[in-house]
Amino acid sequence: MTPTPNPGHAQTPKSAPRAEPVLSVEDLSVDFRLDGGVVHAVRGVSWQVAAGETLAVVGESGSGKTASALSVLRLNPEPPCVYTGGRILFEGDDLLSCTDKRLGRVRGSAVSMVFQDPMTSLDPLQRVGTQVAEVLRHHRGVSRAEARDAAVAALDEVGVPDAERRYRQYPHELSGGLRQRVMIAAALVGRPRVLIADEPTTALDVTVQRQILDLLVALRTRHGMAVVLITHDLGVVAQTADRVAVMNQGEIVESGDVLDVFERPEDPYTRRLLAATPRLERTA
Amino acid sequence: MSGGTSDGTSGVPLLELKGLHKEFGGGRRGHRVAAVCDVSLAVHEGETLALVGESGCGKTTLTRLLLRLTEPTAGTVSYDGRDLATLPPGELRRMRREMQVVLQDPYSSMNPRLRVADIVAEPLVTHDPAMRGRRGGARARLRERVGDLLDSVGLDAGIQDRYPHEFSGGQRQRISIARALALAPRLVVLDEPTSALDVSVQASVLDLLARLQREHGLTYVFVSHNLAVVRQVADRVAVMRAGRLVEVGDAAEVFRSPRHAYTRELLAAVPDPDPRAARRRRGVVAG
Repeated sequence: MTPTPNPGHAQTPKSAPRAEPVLSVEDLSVDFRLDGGVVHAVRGVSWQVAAGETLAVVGESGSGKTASALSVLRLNPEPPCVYTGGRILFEGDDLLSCTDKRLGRVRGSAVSMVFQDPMTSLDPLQRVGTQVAEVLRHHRGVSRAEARDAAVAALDEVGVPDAERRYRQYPHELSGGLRQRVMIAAALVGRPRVLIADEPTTALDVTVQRQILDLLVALRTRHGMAVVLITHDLGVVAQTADRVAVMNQGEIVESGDVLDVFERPEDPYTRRLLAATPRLERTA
Repeated sequence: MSGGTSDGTSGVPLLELKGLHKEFGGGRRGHRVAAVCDVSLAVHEGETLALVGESGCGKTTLTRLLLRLTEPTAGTVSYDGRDLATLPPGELRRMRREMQVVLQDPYSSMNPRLRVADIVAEPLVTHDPAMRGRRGGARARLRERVGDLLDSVGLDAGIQDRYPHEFSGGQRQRISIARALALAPRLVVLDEPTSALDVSVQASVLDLLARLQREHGLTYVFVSHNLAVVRQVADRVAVMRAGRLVEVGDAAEVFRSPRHAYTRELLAAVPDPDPRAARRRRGVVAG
């Protein structure tokens, strides 16, 4: 992976994926209409992601990175959220304007999500295996037995040891890392084309974080998924992403190949963020 | 542990832990858990000692023991050469003034109903008779002192009448630091002081802590799970796992050549913001 010479200021080729995108966000704008006034959380954001590729959307709190990611499946609470402009193109449909029925089919199977805190995303009263199997029962209408076998296989694939036994356990019996693996299994069991992971390792210890990030990279490669990784951590971006979009105050200030952006950042905000990120290797 | 050997500092350490042990549980079920096991460690005046480990390793229990917020099952904590367990209450109270703490979450560590002035002044009013009373003199002295403290952490002295919710996470953490400095402590325990903050805010808070340490000759016990941050701030590092210290040493040395396998594992897991190195590593991992 040698660095290609930077082609001047040609923005379009630099920020475009290498192959045909599976998911395109075009000029997305999102407002939150609150009592105190309107917050323009996302302001004309565009990005694309291709199969087998990881795009990281990085920004600090309030940058609009999560609001833009949740927009893909229209998961922002409405109200106060209002989608004021743009399109989200997936398999020929605009997910912002398609029917609820179509959106329902896309959610959880063609495009799935993993969130930061597995404890709040898992139902504490249900066995974890059932929660993975439920995705298939709901979205694919497969038989109970088939869903069960597929769920055990999915738990096994994401590295849950002794998947048959773990299938029957409840969330509180699992460590944070195992819970996040369960969430990833539930996200993958429907064989999605796109996986959106919103701060998937922020609540985890570093050694566990490393395992989960490596797992996401391996699964992306094996299944040729498009992965959109939402994070505040440039270290996580460097470890996992092919391309990166840097967000600040609702806008993408810079995007491109990870090597280009990290080694030749053009935007002052990107430079500040890189400078503020602590590193192990200090040039002392 | 060999905490005292690598630094060669002479004299009595400001803080010395010897054979500290803390068990929890053991009620009717009889199931006891050792949160801290045989920890011996010295912290010297003016240094930053980082206490590093993952969740559940006992680092928070250890800080509670060294502040004497929790009684140890066995072992001693000495401050300035004196065993805290044997101090009479008045003496312990005096020493408490010299040991302050800044907690991780600036949202939950201050009373939302108090104004900034009252939050920062609380330790002064509690410990300093000259700052008490309704008379004008005490009030004016207090207000001036709080203003100075806010100023020293980079906040406007005019924010005294505002409430915590009006401030960002970074500003709140500065208010917590001002409160910790109110009694001119010698030792400050910083428990994950920047973990809840954005990176750019984290950088400025770390700069502030470094400046305050220089200006006041403070001693820091810096608890963190973030090795990249520790690399930046620590003079010495103590790595903790399952209640025990597995490695203690000079920070530069521990980061350059970690002796314990767990320290190496922790260091290898840090997501370094270097995509080129990451791609090299991944190339190896993928075969």
